[in-house]
Amino acid sequence: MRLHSIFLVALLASTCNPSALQIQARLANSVAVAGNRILPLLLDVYRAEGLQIIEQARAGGLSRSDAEARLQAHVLTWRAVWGECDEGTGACQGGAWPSLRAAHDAWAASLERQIAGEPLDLAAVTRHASELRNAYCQLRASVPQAHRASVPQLPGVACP
Amino acid sequence: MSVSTILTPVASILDSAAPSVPGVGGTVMRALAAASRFIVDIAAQGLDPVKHIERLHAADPALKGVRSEWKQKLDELYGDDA
Repeated sequence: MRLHSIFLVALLASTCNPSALQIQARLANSVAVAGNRILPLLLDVYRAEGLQIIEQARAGGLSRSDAEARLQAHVLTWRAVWGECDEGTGACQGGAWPSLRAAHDAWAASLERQIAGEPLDLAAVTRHASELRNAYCQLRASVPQAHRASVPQLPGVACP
Repeated sequence: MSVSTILTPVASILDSAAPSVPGVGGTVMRALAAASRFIVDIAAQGLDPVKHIERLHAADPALKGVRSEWKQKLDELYGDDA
């Protein structure tokens, strides 16, 4: 972890400043706002590339099974981001996005409990915040190189 | 002049210009817009205490829609070809 990170400063401040809980809550809220703006960009790239693969396969005279095989390779490229998706229920597990969601939810829930009056559990908040940062950086690393700029370095959540 | 006064129009310009810039350039513009809006959002939260924190959306429903759209395209271009 980089000590000059605003993210860490906010964390360390919570040891001696009661309003620092609010700083973390604002940071957590802003991470969600930014993440929810990034998600449609990633989904759109994923969708459009899949359609392009199908159209190019057809234009190139490939069979449907060949087109499906190429599409499956595209799905595999993005599996690290979305995880394994169940065809029936549609639920996806194990990818960087579901992990980021889970890490953010744990952090946000912990902060909300403490805002509501639960005693400060610095170890838990620090652990959740660290997991969130790792999950965000994992998402950046999982997105194919050509589209990694869609997941920007966020101020205070700098990835190596 | 506040941070949001400066960065909000910058983010809007980047967002509206990005679709007309092909390839990596457009993606970089969208990323800069997202980062700018992140800063604006933090600045805009002001001094009101945060009680509820926004959550990240699930990708699952949209991904199901994407798979459905791909299948529709395959059916449209190939019909029942095996």
